[in-house]
Amino acid sequence: MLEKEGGLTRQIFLSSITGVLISLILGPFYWMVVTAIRNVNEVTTLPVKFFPRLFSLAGFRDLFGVGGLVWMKNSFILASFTLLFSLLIVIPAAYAVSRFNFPGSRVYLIILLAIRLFPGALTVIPLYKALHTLGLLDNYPALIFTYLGLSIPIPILILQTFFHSIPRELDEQAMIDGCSRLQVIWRIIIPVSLPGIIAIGTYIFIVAWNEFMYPLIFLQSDKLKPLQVGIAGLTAYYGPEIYIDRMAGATFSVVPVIILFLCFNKYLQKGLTSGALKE
Amino acid sequence: MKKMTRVAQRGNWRKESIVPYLYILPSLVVVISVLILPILYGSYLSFFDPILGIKGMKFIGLLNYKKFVTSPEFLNSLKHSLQWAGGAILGGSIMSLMAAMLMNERYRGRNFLRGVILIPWVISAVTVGLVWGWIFSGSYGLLNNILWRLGMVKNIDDILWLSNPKLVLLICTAIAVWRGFPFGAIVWLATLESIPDQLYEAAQIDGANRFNRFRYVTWPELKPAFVLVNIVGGAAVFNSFDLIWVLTKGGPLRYSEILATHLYKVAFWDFRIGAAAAISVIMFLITLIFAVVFLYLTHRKEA
Amino acid sequence: MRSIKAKKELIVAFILMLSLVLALGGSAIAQNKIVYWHNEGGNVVLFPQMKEQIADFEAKNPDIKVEMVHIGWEIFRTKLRLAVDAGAGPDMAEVGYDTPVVYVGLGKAFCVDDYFVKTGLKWTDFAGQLVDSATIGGKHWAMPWRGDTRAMWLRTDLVQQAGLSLPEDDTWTWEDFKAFAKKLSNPVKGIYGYGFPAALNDQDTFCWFQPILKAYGGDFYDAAYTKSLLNNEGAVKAFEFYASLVNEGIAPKDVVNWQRSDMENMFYAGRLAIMQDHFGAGTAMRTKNAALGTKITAIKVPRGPVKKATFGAGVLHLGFDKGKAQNDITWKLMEYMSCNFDVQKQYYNEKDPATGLLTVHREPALRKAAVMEGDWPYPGDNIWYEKVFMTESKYGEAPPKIVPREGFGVNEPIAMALQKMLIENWSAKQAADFAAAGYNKQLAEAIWYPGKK
Repeated sequence: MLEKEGGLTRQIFLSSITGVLISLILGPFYWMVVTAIRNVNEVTTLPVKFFPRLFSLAGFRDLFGVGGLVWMKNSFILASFTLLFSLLIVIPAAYAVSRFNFPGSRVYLIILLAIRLFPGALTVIPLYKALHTLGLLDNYPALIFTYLGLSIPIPILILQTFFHSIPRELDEQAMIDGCSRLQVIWRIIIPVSLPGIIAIGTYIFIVAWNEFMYPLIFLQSDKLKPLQVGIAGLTAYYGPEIYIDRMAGATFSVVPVIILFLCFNKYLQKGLTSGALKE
Repeated sequence: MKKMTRVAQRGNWRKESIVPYLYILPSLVVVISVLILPILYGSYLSFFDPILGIKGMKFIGLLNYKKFVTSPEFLNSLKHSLQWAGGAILGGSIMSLMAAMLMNERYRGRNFLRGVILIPWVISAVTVGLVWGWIFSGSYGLLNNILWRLGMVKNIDDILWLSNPKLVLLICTAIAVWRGFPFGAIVWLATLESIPDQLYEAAQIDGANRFNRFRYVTWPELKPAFVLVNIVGGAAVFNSFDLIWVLTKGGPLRYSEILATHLYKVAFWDFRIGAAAAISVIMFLITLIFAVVFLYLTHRKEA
Repeated sequence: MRSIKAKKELIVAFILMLSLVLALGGSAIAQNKIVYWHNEGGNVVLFPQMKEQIADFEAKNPDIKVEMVHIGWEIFRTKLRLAVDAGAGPDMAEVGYDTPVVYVGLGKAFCVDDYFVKTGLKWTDFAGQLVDSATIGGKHWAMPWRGDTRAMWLRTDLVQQAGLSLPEDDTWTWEDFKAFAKKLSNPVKGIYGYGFPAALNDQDTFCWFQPILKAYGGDFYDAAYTKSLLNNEGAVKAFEFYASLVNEGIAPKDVVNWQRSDMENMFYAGRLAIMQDHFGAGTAMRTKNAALGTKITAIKVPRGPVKKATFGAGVLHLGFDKGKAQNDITWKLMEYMSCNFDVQKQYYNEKDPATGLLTVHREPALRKAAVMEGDWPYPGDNIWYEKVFMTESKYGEAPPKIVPREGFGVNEPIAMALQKMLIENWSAKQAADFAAAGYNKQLAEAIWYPGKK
């Protein structure tokens, strides 16, 4: 970007806006984490203490007691496989749309867009009936398949605009040099649009991780529950523990994703600053 | 040499003509089986009167639609849905753009912002609703606690936020913006980053000020993504129900009832599947109209 | 040579045949199955007890295998309905008091009268409110499992601070209660005398309102289920009373957004002096927090001009009709868990030596397993929540289906009526009329057949 103009004042101005934004973002997050470790006596007492005096890990104890770790494992499995299969489907599809002007490509895109305009509740009941008829109710592969329906339309739409901005000459050059289409995708397209793919991948993983309605309805057995479903079902019998348990669950569900994101964040920044298109 | 390439090219062409279809085939299989067929079946049900749990249903034509469109809930929910989605799109766009442009500059603290920006989006809607619902709670919310301590209110629950008919939808919209703007921000940041510096330098040399630089250099590059994110994001917000459900369940007194929460009630409180399907179709038509209008408005200038 | 080889072959064949017979025979010690849906997976006290009981049952019935599936109350109604509709439902489910009538109306439950006769028990041996909810059309369709009643829980520390003494809870009226609660209110400090849920929820709002409604002479429907009585004189008084609690500063205005957990939260924090709640609520709080235990006590619910009415509820086991053979098997588990005196007594029956109050979450449904005789903690009259749905068809021949609303839907008219009083300042009469209209509408819609307008 352009060199710093107006030097110091600009710096301070930008930094302070950022400060406000960061506190707005982290504030509720802090509150969530603090509640998770709060002692139950301090949940509604007045005045509320921003920094709890009494700590308690009872929330996490309850969470793990009912299977929090199993739920997390399940969420990981579901989200990872969804990510994997989604990318396998999305990248070639986006490539096909951006490179070939095949008849029906417009319609295809419009269908993908139109699909997302439908409210989710409509698909739940027919899918449930279908899955039951096929005997696929408590079944992970079937569930992942339904996740794909949620996770591939938007990435295809976004990724094809990314691919669009990569000049075709690169493809053609490589093919003249003897690459097949697939090699072009693997060697050229993916590396060049890696930031975009990482963003899409993040999106897919998070969608799968936070998905609540499908596993709620399509899964019945306890051991198969993913984290979001498990947390929502945490009902403390009587008392304010319900808040602590829920926040403990929420914290627990967010921490691994944040760790992942922090790892990819560095990659993301590297990818962005290397200025892909300048090469 | 030339002969070979020509022959090779012709062979390639024949093979190439089915390649795109092969590439999109898996996605079509998924979309058709998981989305299109259920939607078609659901819409088909909207012309009948099935109730979950009972066998048998009768064809009643457009009765579900008529009943719903003439009900008082329809206009109320529609109004709120439009306010909710419109507010979220507008607020979300402004926030996303600002955040993206902010993160595109160089200054201290930028990297930290980039590191934490996605946090609101990462947290599930249910959790966001629970945490913010608590912050805004009348009796023991964080906000009221702060106001009370500062002496700005006499009783801690003098101001009710989510129980206040006038404020409730506004607050829900603000929370939705808080949750949704990071995604737009990172998509546009990636796009902004891909605009070569030379374009800006050239524009600056030509004497364009900051606003014009944005208008003629930044905006055209952003536009495809902007349109996409807003249509899809807008529809998602319009249809989304998790957040408002957790915050207010459409209350109090239906002051925050949107079409999506009403749909849920008809489908899962009344178990009237046909009526619910009719409402979904109506919601779809509304988002379709919005998408078409939006596309038209943003692409008209190009023509 | 040949004969040895032949012998070897014979032996191998024999072994194969034997293992085949054993394998088939092994599975012919038919593994009968009961799929049991429950909601106690998160209940750290009850769930282990249930698992023990079921293991014990399986030991006593080696040919039956029980598959326990935890669903969770929040999603329970939806899941059960979806599953039953798709034919994927369980054999037996732990249900709330308002659910049996729904599935009987849908024709999915099986009648337990013939089975029950053989147990030698009488229906009067069980807590009345549960038998009531299991009785539809003169027959019984579910087994009461655990009972429940309501108490007024009091913060003795706040009472002491206000310089008051505990009220005469054998005779006190709602008006006495209001005066008492008012003295305990101190809104400037954020402390309120009484609070109640008035938000949209599964049932809590109207459950909390129900004792007051009945105490003043109101009711949901008349005896013949022809119209709603929610706007009769008594009901209007009840609505007025409820609104006055908020308008006079005894309860906070925020109750319109309160769920039961919010109310309990505030009580726990010492910001609510009195709360009405399940009997088990206070005991659970006390068990988890000994210090709090010394500051709370339970007293009886007040009475009204018409009658003394408490709210009783509980859970039952509903058996789904899967054909006589399976029903026979399902009944065995229902009988074991409900009709077995030792099972009921063993797990649910402990008294706190200091206060004499029950220390477990819920009371057993089988009365003789209860420690306390008489009408406390059980309500004196078994008046509580009658079925707010049609229970019989008005049609002579092949009746159309009955589609009663449950849960949220039943709660909605009352919650909205209360909110209209508190937010839009409707009069009690207007609110009562609104609620009555809502229930009349449900009555009209309860009878459904395909194509009905």
